[in-house]
Amino acid sequence: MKKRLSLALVLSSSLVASLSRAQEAAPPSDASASDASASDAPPSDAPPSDAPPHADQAPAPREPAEVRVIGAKADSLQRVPGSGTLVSKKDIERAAPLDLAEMLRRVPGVQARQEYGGGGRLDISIRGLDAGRSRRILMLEDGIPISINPYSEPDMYYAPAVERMRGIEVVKGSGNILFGPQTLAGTINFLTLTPPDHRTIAADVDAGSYRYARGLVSYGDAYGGVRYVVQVLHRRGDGFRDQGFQSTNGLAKIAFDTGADGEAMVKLGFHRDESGSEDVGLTRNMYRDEPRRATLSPSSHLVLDRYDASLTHEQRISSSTKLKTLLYGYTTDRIWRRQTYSRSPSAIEDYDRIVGDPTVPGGAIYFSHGDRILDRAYAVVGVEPRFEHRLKTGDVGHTFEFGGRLLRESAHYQDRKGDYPESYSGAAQSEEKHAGLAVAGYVQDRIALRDDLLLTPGVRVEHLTVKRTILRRQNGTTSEDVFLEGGDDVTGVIPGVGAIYGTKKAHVFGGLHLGFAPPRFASSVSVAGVPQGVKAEKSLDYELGTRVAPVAWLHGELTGFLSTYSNQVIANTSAEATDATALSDAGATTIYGLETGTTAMLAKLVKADAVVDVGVRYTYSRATFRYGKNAGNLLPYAPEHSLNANVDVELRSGWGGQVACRYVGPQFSDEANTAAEDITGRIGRIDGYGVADATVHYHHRPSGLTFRLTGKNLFDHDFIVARRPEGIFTGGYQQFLFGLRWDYEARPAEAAAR
Amino acid sequence: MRGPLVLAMTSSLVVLVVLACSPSYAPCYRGEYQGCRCASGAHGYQACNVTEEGFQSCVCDGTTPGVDGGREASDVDAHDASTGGAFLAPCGANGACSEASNVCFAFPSKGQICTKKCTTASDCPAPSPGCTPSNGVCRAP
Repeated sequence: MKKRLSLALVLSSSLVASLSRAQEAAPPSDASASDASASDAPPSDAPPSDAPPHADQAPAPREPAEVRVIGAKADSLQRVPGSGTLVSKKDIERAAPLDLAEMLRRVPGVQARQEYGGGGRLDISIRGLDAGRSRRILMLEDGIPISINPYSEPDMYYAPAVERMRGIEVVKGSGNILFGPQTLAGTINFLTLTPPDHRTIAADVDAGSYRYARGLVSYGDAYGGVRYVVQVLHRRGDGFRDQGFQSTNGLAKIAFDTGADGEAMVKLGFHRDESGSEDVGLTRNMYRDEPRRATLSPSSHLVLDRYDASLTHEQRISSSTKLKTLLYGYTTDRIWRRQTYSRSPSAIEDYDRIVGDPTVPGGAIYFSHGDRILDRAYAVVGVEPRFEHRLKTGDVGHTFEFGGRLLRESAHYQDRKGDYPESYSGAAQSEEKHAGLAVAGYVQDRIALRDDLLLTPGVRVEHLTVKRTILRRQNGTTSEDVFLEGGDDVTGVIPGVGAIYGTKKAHVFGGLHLGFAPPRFASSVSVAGVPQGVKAEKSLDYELGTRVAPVAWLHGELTGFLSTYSNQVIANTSAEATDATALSDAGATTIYGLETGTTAMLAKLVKADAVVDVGVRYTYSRATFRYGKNAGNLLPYAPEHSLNANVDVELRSGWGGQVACRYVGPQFSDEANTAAEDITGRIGRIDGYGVADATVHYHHRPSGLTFRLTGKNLFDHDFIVARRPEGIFTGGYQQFLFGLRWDYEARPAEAAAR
Repeated sequence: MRGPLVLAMTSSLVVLVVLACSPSYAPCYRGEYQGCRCASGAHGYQACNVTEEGFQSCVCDGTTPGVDGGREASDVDAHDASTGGAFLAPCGANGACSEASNVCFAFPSKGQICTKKCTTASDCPAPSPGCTPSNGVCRAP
C-alpha cells in the first residue's frame, strides 16, 4: 500500500507541476511541425505508408507526446533498422475484432492466441519463440512496458482492450535495441486513442451469441490548451465453454503544452477482469466424444485488477534536439483459485467429481473438494529519458538516439490451500517477495551515408539486480514460516546494426543484433535464497529483407531471418513434466524462416472511388533443437507454416466489410515431437486449422450511425489450439455479433467558436 | 438512403434476437461420477446416468471409481504396505512415507506423493524427471 501511495504521489506531483506550467504556456504550437522538421535524409523518396488510403479520411490530429516504435511519419517504416509492420486504425475498424490477437495474427511471423471469452490473456509468439504469456516479446502501450514485471516476470496476464487502440506497431529486427529488456524476437507497441482537437463522442454496443455484450463510451474535447479523451468499456459473456467473464476498463488521456516547445500527455487507466479460468483441459477421449463440452473446472476463477498512470513529456530543446521523458507506474493484483485435481487417484481421498473415463489409467481427472489459491501482487515504477539529436558531418547525416531507463519492480506471491473449490481465503502454504532494480542505457546512430543508404548501429546495456525473500514454504505436507533472503544480478550488452538501401519503389534492409532476455526471479534465486547463477537468455539474430512498391496500387515485403540460441527457455511440455506451466531449458536452438506480405489496392488499379484491398501474408518458420536427444525436432508450439489473408471493401454508399481467413500449420506439443495423442490430451500433434471471419457494416453519414454484423469462425470448425497447461484447449466457436456505433464530431466552425 | 438504413436495422435486430443465446450443456457425461454423502455420513459416488441428464443414486460401498480396492481400514493399510510411502508413490495414511529419506509433498496437481529433497537433478533418481528448484523436491512423473 505504501508503494502505491508513493507512486500516486510522485505521479500526481508531476501532473500538478506540468499542469501549472501549461497554464503559463503560450498558445499551443503545432507539434507535427516539429516532427516534420525532424525528418531524416534517406531514403528521401520513401515509399508510401503501409496503411491503405481512405476516401473519407479526416484531417489528421496533431501528434501526441508519446514514444513510437516505428514512428508517425508516412515513411517511418523505412527508417526502422529491420522488419516492421504497422496495423492502422482503419485496419482495426474494418476487422471489428473481439480481441487484440485477431489483429496481431495479421502481422507476418506472429502467432497469437488470446484466452477466454473476454480475451483476458495474451500468448504471442514471434518467429517460433515460446508463446506462453508473450513472455519473450517486449510488450508496450504508448511506449511504456505493460507486462506484470517487465524484467523478472514479463508475463501478459493482462491484455489491453483492442477497443482503446488506434494502431499497433511491430518491430522484429535490430530496432529492438532501442527498447528492451527483451530483444529476442520483437517489440509490440499498442497505440491508444489520442485526445482530439475538438469535441468527439462515440458510443458503441455489441451483442451476440454466447450472450456476449459489450458497451463503450468515449468522450473527447479540447479546452484552451488542454485536450482530453475519456473512454470506458465493459464487456461480458458466457464464454465458449460456459466460462463466464466480465471486464471493465477505463482510459483517460490529457494532453497539454508545457511551453512553446514542449507538451505532455498524462494517462490514467484501470482494468478489472473477472472470469472463469481453468488450467486443465480436455482429455483425448473427452475431445473425441464431445469437443464442445463445458469447462471441467467451473469453480476455477480469476480476478485481476490493474491500475496505471503515466506522464510522457516531450521537449524540443533546439531545432535538432528533443527529449522525451516517460514516468510511469502500474500495479497488478491477480488472484486465481483453481480446484485441486489429480490424474492418479488415491483410495483414501474423497473426490468431489470424477470426469472422463476412470476405467482407463490416466483417462479421468479426479477433482478434490478443495482448491489452490494463487494470490499475486505486482508493482512497477519507471522513468525513461530518451534523447534524439541530429547533426551532419560533411555530407553524412546522423540521428543519434540515446537514453536510459531506471525501473523498479516488485512482486508478492502467496499460495494458499482452500477447503472448498470456491475458497478465496485458504491456509497459507507459501509466501515470498521479489524485488528488482533495473538500469538500462542505449545509443543508436542512424547514419545517412547517401540519399539511398541508411546504416544504423547501436548498443543497449541492461543491468538487473534481484532480491528474493522467502517468508513461508512447504515442508512436506505442512508449511512453515521461514526468513530466507538471497539476491543475484545480471548484465547484458546488446549490440545491433541495421542497414537500408534503395528507393521508395524498392529497397532492401538487413540487420544483425543480439537477442537478450533476463532470467526470471524464480530461476535466479533458489528456494533457499541461494543465487543459482542462471544466465540470461541470449540469441544471435540476422535478417535480410526487401520492400517493394512497383506501382501505386501494390506493395509487398519479403524477409528472411535466422536466430541461433545458446539456451532457449521454453515451457516444460515433456511427457514427464509435473507442472506444465513451469519453464525449462531447451538448450541450443536454431530458428530460420521467411516472412512475406503483399497488399493490392485494387480500386486504385481501376481508378474506382472506393477501397478494395487484398492482403496476403505467409510465414515459414522452422525452429529446431540443435543438440541432444531431440536434435532436429521442432520446438513445441512452433508451426512451420502460417498464412492469413483479408479482403477489405469500403464503398461510398456507406457499405463496407471485410473477409479474413487464416491457416496455422500442424505443430507439436512436446520436445520429442510425439505425433500420437496420449490419453491425457497433453501430448500429441496439433493438426493444422483454418478459420474464416467476416464483417459487414453500413455507415449512415448524416446520423453518424454505423450498423455492423460480424461473424467469427464462420464455418464453425472445431480445432485444438493448445494442449497446455494440462490438456486440450479448443479455439473459439462460430459466433455472430451485431453492433451499433454512433460517432459525433463537432463541425470545424463549431469547434472554432468554442 | 432510408431504405438501406431500415434494412440494416431490421435484419440486424432479427439476427440479434436469434443469436443472443447460449448453448445448454449436459449436466454430466456417461461414465463420470460426482461425490455424494451417504446416509451413514460416509462419502460415496453417484454415476452419471445413461441419458446424461442427471446422476444415479449414491453408491456407498467404500470404493473410488477407477481405484482398485475399497477404502476400508484394512484395505488402506494394505495399500500403504504395498505402495504407500515408496519413492514417487502416493503417500500413505497420515502423509507417511516408508523410507526415512522421503518426504510427503503435496504437488499442486498430483496430490500427495512421496519424494526426495533436492537441489539439482542429480539428486533425483529415476523415474523422477528432475528437481523442481522452486520447491526443492524431486518431480513426480
